[in-house]
Amino acid sequence: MNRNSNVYTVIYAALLCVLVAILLTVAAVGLKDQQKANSDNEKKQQILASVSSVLGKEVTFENAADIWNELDMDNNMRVVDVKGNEVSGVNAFEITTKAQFKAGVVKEEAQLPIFVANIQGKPYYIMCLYGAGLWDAVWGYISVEADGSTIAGASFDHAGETAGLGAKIKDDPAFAAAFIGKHVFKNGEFAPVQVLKAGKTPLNGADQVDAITGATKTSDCVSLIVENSLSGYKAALQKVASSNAPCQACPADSCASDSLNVEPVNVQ
Amino acid sequence: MAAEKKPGVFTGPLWTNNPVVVQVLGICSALAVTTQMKPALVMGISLTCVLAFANVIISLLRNTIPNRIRIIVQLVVVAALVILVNQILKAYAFEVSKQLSVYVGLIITNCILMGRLEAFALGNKPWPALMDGLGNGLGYALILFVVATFREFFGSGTLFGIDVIARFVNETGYDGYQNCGIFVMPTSALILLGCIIWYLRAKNPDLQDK
Repeated sequence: MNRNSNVYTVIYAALLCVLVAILLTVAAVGLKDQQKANSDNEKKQQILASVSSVLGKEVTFENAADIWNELDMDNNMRVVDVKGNEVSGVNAFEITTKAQFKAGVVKEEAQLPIFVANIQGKPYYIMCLYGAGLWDAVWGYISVEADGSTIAGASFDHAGETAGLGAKIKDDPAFAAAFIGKHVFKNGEFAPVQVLKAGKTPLNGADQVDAITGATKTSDCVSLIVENSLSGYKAALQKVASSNAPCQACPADSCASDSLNVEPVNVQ
Repeated sequence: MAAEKKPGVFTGPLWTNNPVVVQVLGICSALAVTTQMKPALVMGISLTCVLAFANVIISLLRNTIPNRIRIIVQLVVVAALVILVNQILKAYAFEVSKQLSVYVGLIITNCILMGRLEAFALGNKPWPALMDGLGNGLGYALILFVVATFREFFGSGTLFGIDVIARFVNETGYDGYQNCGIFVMPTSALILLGCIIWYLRAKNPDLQDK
């Protein structure tokens, strides 16, 4: 057969494409479950990493699923809209964070997941962060205590920040750890923690976390991402705070002992 | 078949005809994935597998491939193999596949592949083609591994993720050690590659430009 004829060439190309397509389809379908399990596990790891200091241990890819089940996270998540109302019938874990944001801002109709980790009898509310870094997407999770304001931890990941500089938001545990104890609300106003050069203080009185030396742009982006993402949770956090606040309506003696143990709210 | 096996088909590419430092192919990925040893090793192994299989497949098909679309046929074979490797890594070596991220896809465009397919597999029987693929892949892996060892040790103070320098510092109590930041950047890989090429050429007068 003439290998240089047009007919031969066309048939050869068509056959090759069909064969390769079948091969790849089989592989993709066959490996799909395993791949989904991996990416789910990674998500669990990132979510739980934001409460790792409360847990008192590092959350790794290997132990993430165990901790997740231990905390019964599957039954402790909810979805809220930007007005703080609960959305029912949506699986919080399956929500694509990226789809809830447009141009770095939370959409009006966004459905935002909240994962509640009950550790040592205290609830920690884990929220997702998403936005643009210097080069590519940056995302993460941030957890707050029962007062809806005090940050208990954060975890970050990125698609393409510079290794050794911007990538430190993920690689340097000290960066995420610096968020612990900072606040989302200041004197009742929404003023989430900002990432600024060491020594600078935000004008609106918000808390400050030291930026990464040599990665000013990425640090600025993280600051903006935290503010933008949490603004979507603002209403939900206020509800969380009021539902967990020491109750005023009930008889004083029933909750007096509780309120003593709860952190002093609004003393300043 | 054994009689046709060309001497040095396998061993040549490991050193004196190394694809990276002698043929100067595949430099881009050698700069990109060598910050740490683990991804470098996996990248080397992945490329070796893809190159060996692609070489054999193209060699088997060499008498049927229409001349006018041979480059595209090579590309399709390579792309299919790379996607397979990527899917398998995602399923069974997830963390490694994350570190490699785009570079696995970049195997498709790795010049070593097209270079060996076009220059060797199209004109040789499967067995020598397999040897050539393994040799070139391992030669590439070897250089990546050497560069990554230097870069991880001096840039991050670790070897295979084990913080050797930090442990040494802890034990001796010597304080104030700083990792050398440039070793994290691709620049250092280029310098290291240059040093390897320098050494190789100094040792092999055949390679020196007349």
